[in-house]
Amino acid sequence: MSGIVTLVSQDQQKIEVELNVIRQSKVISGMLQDLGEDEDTEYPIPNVSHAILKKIIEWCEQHKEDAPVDDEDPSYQEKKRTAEVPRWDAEFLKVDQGTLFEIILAANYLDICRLLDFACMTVADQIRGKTPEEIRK
Amino acid sequence: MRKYHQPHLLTSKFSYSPINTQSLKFVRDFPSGEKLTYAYLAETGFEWPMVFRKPDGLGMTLPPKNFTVRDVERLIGRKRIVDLIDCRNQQGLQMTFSRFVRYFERRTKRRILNLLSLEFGDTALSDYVSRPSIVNTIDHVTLCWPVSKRPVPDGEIDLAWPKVQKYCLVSPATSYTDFHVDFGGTSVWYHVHRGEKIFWFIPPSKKNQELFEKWTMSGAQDQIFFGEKVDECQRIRVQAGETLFIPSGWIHAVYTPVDCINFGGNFLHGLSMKMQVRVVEMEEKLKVPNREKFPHFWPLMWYVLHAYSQVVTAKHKLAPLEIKGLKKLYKRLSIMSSSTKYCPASIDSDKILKILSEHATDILPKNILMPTIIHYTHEEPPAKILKIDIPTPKILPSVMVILPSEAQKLKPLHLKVIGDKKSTTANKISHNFPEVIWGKIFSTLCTRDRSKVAQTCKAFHRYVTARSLWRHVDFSHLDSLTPSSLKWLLRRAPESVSLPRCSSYRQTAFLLSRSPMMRKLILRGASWSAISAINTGQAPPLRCLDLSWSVVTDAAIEEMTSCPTGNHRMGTPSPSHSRLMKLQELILDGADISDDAIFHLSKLPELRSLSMMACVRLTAEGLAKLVSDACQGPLDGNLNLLNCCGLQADVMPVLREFISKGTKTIMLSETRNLPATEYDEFRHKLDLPSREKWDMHVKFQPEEIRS
Repeated sequence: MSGIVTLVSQDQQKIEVELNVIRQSKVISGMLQDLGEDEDTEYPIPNVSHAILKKIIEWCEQHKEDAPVDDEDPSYQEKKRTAEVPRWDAEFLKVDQGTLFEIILAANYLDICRLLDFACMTVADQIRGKTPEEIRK
Repeated sequence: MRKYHQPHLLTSKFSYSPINTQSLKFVRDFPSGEKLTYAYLAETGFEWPMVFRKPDGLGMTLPPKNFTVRDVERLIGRKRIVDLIDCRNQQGLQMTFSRFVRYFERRTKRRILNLLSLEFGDTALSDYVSRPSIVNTIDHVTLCWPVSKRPVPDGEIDLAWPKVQKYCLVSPATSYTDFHVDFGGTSVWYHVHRGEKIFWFIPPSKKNQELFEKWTMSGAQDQIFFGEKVDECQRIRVQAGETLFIPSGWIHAVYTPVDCINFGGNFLHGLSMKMQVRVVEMEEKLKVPNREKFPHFWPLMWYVLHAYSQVVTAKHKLAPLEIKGLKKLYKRLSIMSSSTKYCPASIDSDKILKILSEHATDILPKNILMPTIIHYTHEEPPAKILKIDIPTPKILPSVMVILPSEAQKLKPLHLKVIGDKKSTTANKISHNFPEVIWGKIFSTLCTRDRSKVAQTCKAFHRYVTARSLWRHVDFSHLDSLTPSSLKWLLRRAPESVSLPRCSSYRQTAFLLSRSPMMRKLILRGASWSAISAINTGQAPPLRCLDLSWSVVTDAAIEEMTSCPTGNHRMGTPSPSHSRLMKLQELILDGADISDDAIFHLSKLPELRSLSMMACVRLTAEGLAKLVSDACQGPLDGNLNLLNCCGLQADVMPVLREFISKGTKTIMLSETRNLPATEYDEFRHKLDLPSREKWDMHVKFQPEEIRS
């Protein structure tokens, strides 16, 4: 087992990624379990485009050392309410709105809950303190 | 007009005898209907009532002879609400048709209820009854009312449409309708299906009309039989199977000697336009209420004028009666102000009036000389209106409500909204977001931002108001609770609520009695009166209660842990124990409580965590109550005794009891009475089952101690 898996994005481009990096996506780790960790197997990610997938892998690289979190844990949920987005993540998520929304969709699809939380918080920060007229944009 | 029942008059003097002038014959009598053609009407002017002894040749469809009121019920529907007139007091009333049928079939009737206004044109009965063919060819509503504004099957019922074509009249014996003129100067066709009717006719001469106006306004109609007041009045009896035509404007009264079913209808036509306008003017003078007038009379007249203006420009000739009528109409309409003209928006009133005025001056004299009647003896004379009028409906826009000026105002606004939505591709993507994601995003927002989001669009409003977002509501930052914020709170039904410090008893009691789902209540710094609502009978069984820095005394604790005294929920047995029986976590930081309060707290059977920070009057003796056998709560959570400076060194054995009981965390701070050295000693002496489980926090306050 080489520890490298190949992902195929929506536009049929291939990306190689370390296994322990992408494990943060519950969907992909589930897929790996189901399909077996063969070297030759390509894992299709039909809902995510190449650019966004690269972005997500970048995030996973950064956070591969983090302890896994349990989304259902009430103490984590409590923390989430008060926590702020870490600086690196805030920088990482400083993208235009379209990309941000695509990241959210991808994180939701791949079930990377911390990325999803951070991205949602970023959107919430953008909404905060705006009038309804401004939010519409 | 008003209708009166006068049995005394009818049964004595007037019953069944012709009045005043027996020899007078207004009514034209025909054996059957073949003679009734448009040519005949144009020639005679449709000025006299006509009775046809047989319906042959009239071109009517009629139901079979054995057709009863039960069949009518079947065809128009049992639930149809009908307007009736009680002949004795002339009061209108309503009932369902099935109830009326039951009444009608009763042998003896206490009341005489007359059904006069059941229009059935849009019911299944309409297939069984059709109007005389001559009516179809001259009725202005049929000819001129725009097709687009007519009701379609299963369409809107409330269309502005003169719905007077087909009436079913059901009258029990002895019902009487006093002298009246039919609304809008309409002419009437009237077929007696069962039973018989007696009519009194008075011609619409100027003199008679004046007398009629006087009589109507006298208010003594039920004292005076109007037939006696005029010189000429004819009585006629119409029996089953006979058909009667009443021309425009004729003053008539109707009596029903035996139970009777009739079909009839009202129509306006070109030969009586002059009289129609005169009657409408009379109605205005007599202040007839709108519901008793012809519906949409003036708009219909405009459509008629439009049709005639097209006839005139096409150089068709008109009957002299039509010209007289048009002149009268023209005179009338040209003096009406634009607001009361009721001119339909699709019709250029000024243009029509101009055409007609030219016509009235130029063509009219010629027409008098011209034998116009010959023109009308052709087989299809009314068709000219029909033919020319066909374009009329076409030019009518389907929606005429929005005026051009309003439409212009609306337009840019509308466009702007659309423009905003399409401005960013981001928005397109975000519309694909599942609700869960929006829930995640909005869950980190505060109430104020959420309300802003809710205002942006419908979908956001739905997401934001989802209950899952409002498990915890924090109102502690508010200065006060307003009624609207309380209502809002109740709608969200949160599990956990934090209330502002200035809540009153009534507010907390109101909220608690209506929030059965509430499990956690935070009332920091509140007054005792607000807190006391917790133990009323209607409060929810709280799991967690935070009363830190509130006004809480021993007496308050005692009251909270005893049976509620106030009113309790209706239908439930009166409570036998405190509403705090389910309480698991209690925070009493800074409360003014002593050991007595601890005794009461020991009675809470499910209490796990207790925080009594800065409760200075607490002693080891009091805490011992919590570990004694009498204590009901498990107390296996956290025990916060920070800054409890009343605690002496003798608290240590008690704490050991706590640990053996299973308390997870005990928090203590070092004070003068409880120096750190003793802690350490104590800690060393203890035989701890697991170091991690007992995490003792020691806060050093060295400056104070050394001084």
